[in-house]
Amino acid sequence: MIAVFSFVLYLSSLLWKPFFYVAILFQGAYILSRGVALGRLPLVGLHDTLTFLSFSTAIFSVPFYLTLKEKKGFLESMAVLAAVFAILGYLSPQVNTPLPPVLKTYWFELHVVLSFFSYGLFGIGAILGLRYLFLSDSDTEALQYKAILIGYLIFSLSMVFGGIWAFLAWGTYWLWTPKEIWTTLLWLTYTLYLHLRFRPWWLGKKIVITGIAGYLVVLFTYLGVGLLMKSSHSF
Amino acid sequence: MYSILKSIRTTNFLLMFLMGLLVYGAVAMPLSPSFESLASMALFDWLKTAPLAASWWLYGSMVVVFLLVINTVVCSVDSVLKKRKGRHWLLTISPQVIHAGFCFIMLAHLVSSYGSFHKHAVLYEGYGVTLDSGVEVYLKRINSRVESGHVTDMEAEIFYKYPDGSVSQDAISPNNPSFMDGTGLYLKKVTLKPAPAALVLFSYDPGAPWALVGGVLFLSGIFTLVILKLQDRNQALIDTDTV
Repeated sequence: MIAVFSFVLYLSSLLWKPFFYVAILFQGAYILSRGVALGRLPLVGLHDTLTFLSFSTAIFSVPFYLTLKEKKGFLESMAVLAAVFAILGYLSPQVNTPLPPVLKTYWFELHVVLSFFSYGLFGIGAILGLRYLFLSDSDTEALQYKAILIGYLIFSLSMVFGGIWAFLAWGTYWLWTPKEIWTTLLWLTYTLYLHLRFRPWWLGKKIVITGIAGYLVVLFTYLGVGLLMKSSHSF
Repeated sequence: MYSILKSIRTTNFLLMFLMGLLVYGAVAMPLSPSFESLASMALFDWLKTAPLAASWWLYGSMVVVFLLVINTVVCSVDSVLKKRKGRHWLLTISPQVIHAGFCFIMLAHLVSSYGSFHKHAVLYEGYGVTLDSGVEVYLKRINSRVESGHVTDMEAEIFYKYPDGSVSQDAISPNNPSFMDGTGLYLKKVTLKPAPAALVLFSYDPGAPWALVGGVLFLSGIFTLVILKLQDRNQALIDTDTV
């Protein structure tokens, strides 16, 4: 019920902004209550991960909102994105079984939490990119860069922790599966974004669109690969 | 030639080309049964047996990664030489630390592709196998906990018997392997019926230490770079000074 309530609150924030913060609080409380009820980190299965993605996207958008000079429309866009993930999470089945032994490690928890934090930041980067296409202000483009740069740091951290976990669980830090390859593609996409910024020809709309395209790779890596392909990340 | 190798334009083209190959590979992989054995073999051993029609994108990726590593090294050396007397020493060096980390990670993949192996074996309580080094490993006892029909914890007590007759004990559980002469023993599954037995993975990945070194370097470099970039709000906009 709290999960639906946070969805409603995110949408209500389109009318009155403070609801956005209340939605974050409600969603945080819901995630905490799931964790307490399950006795583990509630980050297994689509219900929990989508809810956490919604929460990460919303909570990380706050500092960017406070930093933006031209704030109009930003929080509303973030609220819609967070609401979409929140309702998709609510509609997805919960996984309430105990954790398989292989997932009982801090490496897994760090890997997953940091992955979704970075996905949240990449989502903010995409929204800021879309804003730039309409407003064309350099402040928004600079903030997109910062969101993606911090997201890239956190994503890299998550990948290193994932590699350590994989070595301890499966005897190798790398597996040749579509999930790993798409994850590498995601990392390469943002690596390319960061390198393209050094070429003056790419600055402006082209680089911003690259940042938006990166988020499509994020969504496919997270949702598309899991739903369409056999994955080493299915437990 | 040197100007092409040090160019960031070359980096960008190579990255795009590599991404194209990997997109093809990620789509082709689930469609070809040849890839089913890839997870259990060293890459170069697998490539010897795989049909070229299935593996060509991996050969292509290796060539592009090789060129990317050369481009990275040349670009980094050139950048450090040009800016060694600059005032922003940390800002100059941190991208190069990231690049060094990337090179170590690629080295790790190269080493793993040559010499790694992953073999499964079923061990029954009281029985064992002999490793290549002559050391015997035995499964002493299995402990497991089941909650609501799900195995929530499992452990296998093992002991090693060395060629000189001495014995040492250890225990393995998920995420807690035991290592002997570089080979890891991993507990994958246990069963108590019809007889207590464990599915054990014997894994050797010589690239893992290099990957760890690469990961640490990569993270140190990017962490420093992010801190420096965030300190200066305006610098985030256009910065062609740190490649």
